[in-house]
Formats: sequence, C-alpha cells, structure tokens
Amino acid sequence: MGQYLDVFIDEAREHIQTLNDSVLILEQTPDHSDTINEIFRAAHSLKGISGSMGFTRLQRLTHDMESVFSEVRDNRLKVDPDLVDVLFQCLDAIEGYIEKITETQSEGEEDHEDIIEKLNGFLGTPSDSGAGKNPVQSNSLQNTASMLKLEEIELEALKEAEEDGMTPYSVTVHIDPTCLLKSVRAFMLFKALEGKSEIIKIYPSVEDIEDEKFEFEFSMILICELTEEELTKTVLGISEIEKADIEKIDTANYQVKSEKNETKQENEQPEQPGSTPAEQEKKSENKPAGSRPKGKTVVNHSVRVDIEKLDDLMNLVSELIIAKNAIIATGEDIYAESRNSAKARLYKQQMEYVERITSSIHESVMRVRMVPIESVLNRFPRMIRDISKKLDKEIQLIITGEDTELDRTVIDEIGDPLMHMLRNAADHGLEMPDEREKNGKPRLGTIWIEASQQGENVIIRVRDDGAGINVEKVRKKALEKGQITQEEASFMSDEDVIQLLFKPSFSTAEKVSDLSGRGVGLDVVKSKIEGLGGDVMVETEYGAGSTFIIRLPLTLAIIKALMVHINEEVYAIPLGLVSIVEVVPQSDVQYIQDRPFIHLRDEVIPLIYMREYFHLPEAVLSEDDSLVIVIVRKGTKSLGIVVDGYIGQQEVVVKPIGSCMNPPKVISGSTILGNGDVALILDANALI
Amino acid sequence: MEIRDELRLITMNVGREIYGIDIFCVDSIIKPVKITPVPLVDDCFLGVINMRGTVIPVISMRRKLEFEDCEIGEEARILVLRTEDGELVGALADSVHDVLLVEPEKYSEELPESIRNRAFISGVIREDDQLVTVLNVNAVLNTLERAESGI
Repeated sequence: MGQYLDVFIDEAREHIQTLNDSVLILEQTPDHSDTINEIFRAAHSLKGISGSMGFTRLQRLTHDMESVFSEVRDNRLKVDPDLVDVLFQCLDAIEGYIEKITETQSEGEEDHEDIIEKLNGFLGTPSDSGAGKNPVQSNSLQNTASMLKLEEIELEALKEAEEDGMTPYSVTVHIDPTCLLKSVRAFMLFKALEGKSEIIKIYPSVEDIEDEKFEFEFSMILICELTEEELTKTVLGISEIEKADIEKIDTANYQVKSEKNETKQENEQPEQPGSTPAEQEKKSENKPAGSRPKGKTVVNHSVRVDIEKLDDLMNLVSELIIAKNAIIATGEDIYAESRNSAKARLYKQQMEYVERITSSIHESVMRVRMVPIESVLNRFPRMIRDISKKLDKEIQLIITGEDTELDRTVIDEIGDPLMHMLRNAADHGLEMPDEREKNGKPRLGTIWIEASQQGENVIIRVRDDGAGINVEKVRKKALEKGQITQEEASFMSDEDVIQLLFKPSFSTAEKVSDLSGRGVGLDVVKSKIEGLGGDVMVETEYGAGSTFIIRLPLTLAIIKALMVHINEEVYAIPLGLVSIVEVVPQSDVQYIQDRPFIHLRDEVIPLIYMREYFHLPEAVLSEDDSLVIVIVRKGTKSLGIVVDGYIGQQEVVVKPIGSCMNPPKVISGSTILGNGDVALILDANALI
Repeated sequence: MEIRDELRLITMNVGREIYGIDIFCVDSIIKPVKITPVPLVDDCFLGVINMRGTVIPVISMRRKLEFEDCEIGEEARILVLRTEDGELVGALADSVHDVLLVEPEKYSEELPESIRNRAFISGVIREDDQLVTVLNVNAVLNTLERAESGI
C-alpha cells in the first residue's frame, strides 16, 4: 500500500491547496460559482481518495465539508465570515490528518467532533437521518445512469447494431466499497468485455475511472451479442464487483439527451442535509458521482520521479563534466603541438561538439530539477488571511512571478525564510488601519511578493507599503543592547544600521506578539539564505514601506564561474555576483585612510587584495604590471577583488569542502579542475 | 578505545616515532597527490585533495603531533580516515607499514606522565622492543578537542 499512500498524500495535499485557495476567493466573492464548483470538486475527490485508502475519520470530515459546499452550490446556504472560519478550521484539521498520515501512515485518533458539529450546524437540524438509506441508493443509481444520455447519433448506432443482432444494454457497476483498487477492477472489467461487446458511452469518462476519480459505481451503455444473463455473469465474474444493474435499452422509446434534460437532472439531484456522523459512511458511498460538474480533464503528461534518482543523474552529469574538462585539458597540449594538422582540427571540432552536448545535458537535467516557486508561495495567501484576522489589520497579498523556477533543493529550503519575512511585513511593517488612514494611506495594507529570474540568479522581493524601518529607533535599540558603541552609533550610515537587524536577537517591535518579534528572526533568515548561496538585503523608506530583496542562485550543483589565479592556485568565483573584470595600471589605485579604492566610471570602488586577505606573500610586481580586478556587485554595493590573473569562464561542479577543517566563509566549496586538481570556490558575497 | 579480542592497527612513521591507527577507521591509503592549500584554516591542515572525485581535507600528522615539517618523500602516504560522522579526512604520514596484530596483553591505556597531546592518544603498545602509540582518530580529527589537549 506504500506506493499508493505516497500518491494519496500528494493528491490530498494538492486538493487541500486548491481548497485553501478557493475558500480565500470565496471569502472575497461569496457567489463566485466557478469557485464553488471548484471547491466542490476538490472536496469530493478528497473524500473519495480518503475513503478508498480507508481513512474513515478523514473521510467523515471531508464528507461533512462536502455537504456544506453542496448546500452552498445549490444556493441553500450563504457564505459568511463564520462559515469561512469554520471551513478554514476544517482544512487545518484535514491537513493535520495528512501530516499524521505522512508520519505514521495512520490517521490517528482525533475525531474533530467540534468541527463536524459546527459544519452540521450550518446544514440545519438533521431531519431525516436513518430514513435516507434506501431512497438514496436508488436515487444515486438513477443518477450515474442518468448521466448517460445518448445523443441522437449514438442512438442511431444502437439501432443499427440491434438490426445486426446485437443487444444494447445499460450497465451500472457497483464496486465493493472496501476495494482499494477500484480502477484496476474497472480495467479488468473492460478487458473481460473486450471483444464481446462495444462500449458506446461511459460515465464517468475512462480517464476519470483510470484515475480513480469516481465513487464506487460507474455506468456504461454497450452493445453486445451476449444475453442479459451472460453479461451479468461476465461482469460479476470480476472480483470485488458487488452488484451490476443491467437493463436492456428500448431503443424505440428512448428519449434523446437535450440540454434542458440535463440541467433538470442536476437540479433534481437529491441532497441529504444534516447527515449524522453515524450515517455518513453509508452516505458517502452513495454520493452520486454524477453530481460532479463536468470539469475539463486536464491531461498531464508528467511522471513522478523520486528526487534521489534525479540527484543520482545530476551526480553522473557532474562526473561527466569533470571528465570532459579533463579530456579538454590534456587535449589542449596535444593540440598545441600540431595545431595545423587535419587530425588536430578534427579533434578540436569534436571536442567543441562534446562540450555543447554536455552543456545541454546539464541544462536539461537542471531543468528537470527546477520547480516553479509557486509551490512555496501558494500557501501564503491563506497565511496572510489568518494573520490579518489575528492582528485586526486589513492586508492584501499580491504575488507576481510565481512561475519563476528554482532548483528543487532551494525550493525546499526557502519556504520558512519567506514565511518569516511575510510575517514580519504583516506584523511590524504594516500599520493598524486607523493609523494608515491618519497618515493618508488606504486602510488596506498591501504586501507584494515578486519573483523573477535575473541571469544566474532568482530575485525574490518581499515589499510592503507599511511604516518602513525607523532607522533611528534601530540605532537607539542597538545602543541600548550594547551591540554598538555610542561612537559607532553616531558614525554608522543608515544602511549599516539596517544591517543590524540581521544580527542575532534583534527585534524592534515594541510589543512582542506571538507571530514574530521574539528576537529569533532575520538572523535566521539571513543565515538560511546564505547557506543556500544567496543573500538578503533591505531597502526602506520611513513612512512608505520596506523591501526585502532575496537573491538566490538558480542551482547549487553546477555553476558558471570565473576562474582566476591567486598565488599559483586556481580559484572559481561564481558568476552570479561578478559584474566585470578590469585590468588597470597599478597607479590607478588610490587610498582613502590607508584603504585602497579605484575610481571607475564615476564610481569609487573599494578593493580587496586577495593575497593580503588570505595572508599569502605579496605579489612581486614590476612597475608596469597591471592589476586584474574582478568587480562584484551586490545590490548597490560594489567591490573590487584583486587577483593575480584570470583564466576565463567555466562550468564547475560544486563539491563540499571538509567541514572539520572549519573553512572561512569566503571559501564556500571546491571543484575539480580538468587536470584533476582541486580549485576552491570563492564566495564574493562573504567579502562584501 | 574499546579493546577487542585482538587489535588490528595500521602503523605509520611520523618523525622517529611509530603511531598506530585502528584499521576500522582507515578507509584507504593513497600516494600523495597535489594538495591545494586552503587559506585561513588551522595550520595542521595542508589543504584539500581530489580523491577519486571527492574533495577531502588533508592533515599533516607532523604538524598535528607538533613535529617539525619535512619534505614529502617517496615513502610518504596519505591515510584516508573516516570520522564518526562518516566524513573522510586524509592524514599525511612519513611512511606507512603493514597491519600490526596486537594481542590485548601488550596494550596498555596507562600513559607515562610526561606525554603531550594526551587527548589524541588512547594507549601504548610494547611490541618486541618497539613502542607504538595508538591514536584516537576522532580526537585527532576534531580540532576543538585540540585546545583541551594542551593541559
């Protein structure tokens, strides 16, 4: 059952997400009929799959939720804030079940009676409990079968077949509710009927049946040469098929499907308001599958692949790139000896070809590992809604660029930091509505999440139109906490003061709420993002809002890097931050307070001599030797890294570097060069 | 170190002394390859090497045990050790000998008073007329414990 469990969990999560999103929309526009249908579909499927996996508590809760949605859909129940609250509670409870199932494979003992009671409260008093059993049975039968109305042309086909000595039948198959693999049973039935009969029409569709998107029954209209008895025997010959209603179709008196007919069917669909929990098991299996609005089935041509397999593939690609670099390195020597021979030229051509292919393979594998950031962002609207209720603030969240893609490993890690920043924005950034009004702002505060790809990086901006950061307050606080001295406080630039926010245990909120502001926060965010090879910055305007800018590398495993020499060793500087390489005469370096700077295109850029930074012997330079400076940029800050020479760009495979060595932050990893030597990766980010 | 029925040690020369390392801690023994120095790390780390596609740090046993540096000779070998966390670390020794089978009665955990770097050492073996110092690999590799050993 394990593999089905995984599929179940994935699917259930998807449904929960859909429900969360839809209920949010419903809260804003209570009569949005598309949304109501969407919700109903999701709730219905969720119930279906939980039932088929035998999670009865979960099934019961989703069932009652579905009943509520059904009432809403039929305009018998109005969506009001109370209902939305209960629905969200319900969704949380369902999520709780799923968490529990993920951890323990069992749904646990929690019944959530209170929520079920509240849900049933919306359905009115249970009036006809117990009595509904049999009538529902027949009703539902009528319903799946009734979804199968023949069109004129199909009826003609039936009539023709009849003339050829075949018999048309309407067959409704009931599968044992304890059956775990409904679709397999259905498939076996199709197989058994194959050759003996022809299925004219089926409801739900074959795709839906294969995807288990049906309750425990489905209906078909088929023509075959078999007698009714033989057909019954064939159908019931499949195990776990409980019952089959087989009926000959009277083609002469058949009423052809019309639009009007169908709508009538939908409206007449029986509903059992206020079912009691005891009754629900029975009811859920009888719930007509036909009540599902005919949504367009999106055929998804995708395969679920274990992330480990992708990791293996990525490792192999890495090895391939290393091997390729090695071949090129040895080849270069041979090539240099006989540059003009035909063989050498052929070699060069082939090598270039191999290089292109390996790059393409690498890119393809990388793309497979890329996931849209949407999968992280889509839980935030719900979170903001909850926070706005809790804080009594009016907040809207606007997300753009949710289709921006990031490596799976980055996606997995980025959720928590983002959540934290959003909470910060909602809690500390946005003001109370009254205060906003007083300051001439709309009562409704807005938080934006904007994701976009820029070269080798993905930029995520979390922006709010709140109060902004009070730099003086931060300065005062830092002074009080003894993190800076009086002297530092008076000399520090605003920008540097804001950086203090990222120091451990620093919270400016005057009132500690349980949302954020416990002093663990931005420092954790920062270290997490830096751990992913990215960085975070703040821009703020007091009174107008703040923007947190997160930069993340597209991938972690293979990066493009600038290869440079420092003291005979080769270092790789990830291209992410590199803006340009400058070769300048030594005399261009100027000093301010004994610190080296360079003046380039109206910009004064501080310099770091890597040899000095690494405590290596100073380079021996004659007077006309030039300096090679790698200019790196992070937000508005620039820095010139002085190296001994540069080699060029290369794709490098990032390898971890022994942590027991306690390497400095600036050395973020290593890579293996074409000649088999190790080169260190220099994280310019740590230098800025 | 837990004393098994018999102890199998890889022995190595560092300076004029012989040290032994439990064979269970040794992943492999390789000839020295090019070591890429890593700046700003503890002095006893010579740098990192490429061991069949994995980048591992290399410790100088001489520096770790507070001997004078010397040229890496023909005989020199890197012992690739596996730490408790499964991390691989190379240890550069002047030379490496055969596996030494030690009978338990020859092994003693009592160390002479004057010995330095006590934390690295789990015991001493008297084998014929030779003394073999048995190293505690995890202590050797853990730089934090190095500070405590100065007592």
